[in-house]
Amino acid sequence: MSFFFRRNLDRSVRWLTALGALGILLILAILVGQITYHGWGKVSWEFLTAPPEKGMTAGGIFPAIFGTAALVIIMTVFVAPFGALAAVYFSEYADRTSWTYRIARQAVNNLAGVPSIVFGLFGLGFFVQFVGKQIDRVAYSGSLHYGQPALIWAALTLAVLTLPVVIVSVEEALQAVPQTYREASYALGSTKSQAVFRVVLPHALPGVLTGAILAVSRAAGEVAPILFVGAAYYLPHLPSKLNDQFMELGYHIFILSTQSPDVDATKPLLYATVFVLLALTFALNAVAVVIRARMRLAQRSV
Amino acid sequence: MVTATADREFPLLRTQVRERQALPVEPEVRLRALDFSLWYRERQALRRISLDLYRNHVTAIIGPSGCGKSTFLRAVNRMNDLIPGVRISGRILLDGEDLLSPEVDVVALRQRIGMVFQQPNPFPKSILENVAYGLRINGLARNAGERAARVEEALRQAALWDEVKDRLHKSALTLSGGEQQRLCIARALAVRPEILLMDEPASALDPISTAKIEDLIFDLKNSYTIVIVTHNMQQAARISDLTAFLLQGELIEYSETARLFKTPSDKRTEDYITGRFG
Repeated sequence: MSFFFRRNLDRSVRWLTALGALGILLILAILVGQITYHGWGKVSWEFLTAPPEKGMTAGGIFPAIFGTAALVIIMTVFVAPFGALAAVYFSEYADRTSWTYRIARQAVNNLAGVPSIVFGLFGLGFFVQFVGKQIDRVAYSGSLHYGQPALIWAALTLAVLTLPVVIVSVEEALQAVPQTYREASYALGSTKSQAVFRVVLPHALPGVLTGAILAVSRAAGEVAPILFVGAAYYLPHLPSKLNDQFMELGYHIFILSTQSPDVDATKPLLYATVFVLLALTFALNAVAVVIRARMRLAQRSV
Repeated sequence: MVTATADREFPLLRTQVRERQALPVEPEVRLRALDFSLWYRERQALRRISLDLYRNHVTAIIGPSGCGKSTFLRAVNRMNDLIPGVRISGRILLDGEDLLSPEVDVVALRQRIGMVFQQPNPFPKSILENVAYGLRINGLARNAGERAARVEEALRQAALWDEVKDRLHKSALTLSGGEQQRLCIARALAVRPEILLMDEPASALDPISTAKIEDLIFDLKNSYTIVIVTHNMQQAARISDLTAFLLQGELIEYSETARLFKTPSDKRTEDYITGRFG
C-alpha cells in the first residue's frame, strides 16, 4: 500500500466516524427542536395546573404530572434501599470469583434486558392477581381493594424494572471506593458492617443518589409496564390512596395520540405534553449530574 | 539479646546515624512467630519464619520487593484474612496466645495491633473524625469531652497537634501527604494499641516529611512495640534496634541493627545491604 493511499484511508475513517457522531447529534437536535418548537407555545401555568377538558381537546395535564410524581416517589422508596442493599452484597460480601456470584450478576444483567411490556404483564400477574388478591382475601374478606390495578402495583412494577439500574450504578460506586479505606477501617478494629456503613457507603453516596435518580428518570418515561397495572385513561380526581388508579404523563401521551376525537385540536396539547415529559427527564438527569459533582467536591473539603 | 549501641557508623551502608541512648538490657518478648509459613493459593510467600519482637523496640524488616515482608506484617494483624486463597501454618504468639487461631476475635486483635499503610489513607472526613473513628467504632470514650481529649492526645503523640489544632473540622484531605501520614499514625494511636505495624510508612513522602516520621517513630518507641517494613536500608539503620532480612520468603538473618549492617553473618545479607542485588 502506498503512503498516499494509507493516509487517505486514515482520513476517510476519521470522517466516517465523525459522520456517525454527527448523525446522532442531528437526530437529537431535530427531535428536541421539533418538540420545543411545537410544544413550547402551549406550555403555560394553566396547562401545568389544570385537568384535561372536553375529551382531551382542551385543558391541561396536572393529574398526569401528579400521578407521575406519586408513581416515581413510591417506586423510589422501594427500589433505592432494595437496590442499594443488593449492590452492597454484590460488592462487599459476595465472593466475586464464585460461580453463584456470576450467575446472580448475570441475572441482574438479564433483568435489565427484559422488554418492559413483559414487566407490565409480570406486574399484572404477580402484584395485582396474586399479591393483591391475597391481601383482599386476608384483610378485606374477599372484597375488592388491592386485587385491581393501582398506584402501588404500578410503583412496584417499575421498581422491579429499575432495580438493575440502581444495582449496577451503586455497585460501580462502591467498587470505586479505594480498597485502602476498607483496610484502614479494619486495621482500627472495625467489623465488616462498620467498614461498609461508616466508610464505604458514605463515600459512595453520590453514586447511590445518582443511581436512584437515573432509575427515576428511566421510570418516568416508561409506559408499557404500567398499562395493565394502574394507569388510567382519565380520572376526575387525583389518586389519594395507594390502591387508587392514576393518570401518568407517558400514558397520557399515548392516549392523546391515539384516542382523541379531534386530532387537530389535540395536537398542540400532545406536543406540549411530550415537551413537559422530556423536560422533566432531562432535568432529572441534570440534577443527577449536579448532585454527583457537588458531593464529590464536598467530600474533598468537608 | 540486644545491647546498647553507641557507635552507629555503618561502613557497609556508607551512612552515619545519630547516637542513641542505651536500650534496656533485658528486653521483653512481646510477639513471637514460630515456624510461620504462608501461601497465596499454590505460591509459598513465607517459609517457616521464626522471630521475636520486643517491647519498646523498633524492628525493621528489610528485603527486596516480593520477599514477603509486607505479607508478614499483614499476618500479624490478620489482614491477610481478607484475601481469598491464603493458607497458613505455624504460630504467632501474642502474650503466649496464638493470634492465628480461628477462635481469636480478629476485631479485638486489631485494636491491640495498629497499622499504618504505605499510602496515607485518611478517610474523606474531618481531621477530628479521622482520629475519632477508631474510638467510635470500638465504643471507646463515648462522651464528647473524653473523645476530644483522646483525639488531642493522639494528635500530640503523632506530633501533629500544633499544625492542625485550629482546623480540626477541616477535611483530612486538605493536609499535605506527610501530614496525612502522621494523621493516619494518630488515628492508629487513638485506640491505644500495644503494637504498631508500619508498612513502608514513608515511601510515598518527601525527605522532610520522611524525617518527621522517623523522629516520630523514635519517640513512639517509648510507649509501643513497633515493626516497620521498609525498602530503605538507611532508614532501617537510622531508626531500628533490630533488623530482619527476608529473601524470597525466608528469614535470612535477624539481629541487632548495628550488627546486621556492620558485620552481617550471611553472605546474602551482605550482598543485599551493599547493593549487589535487590
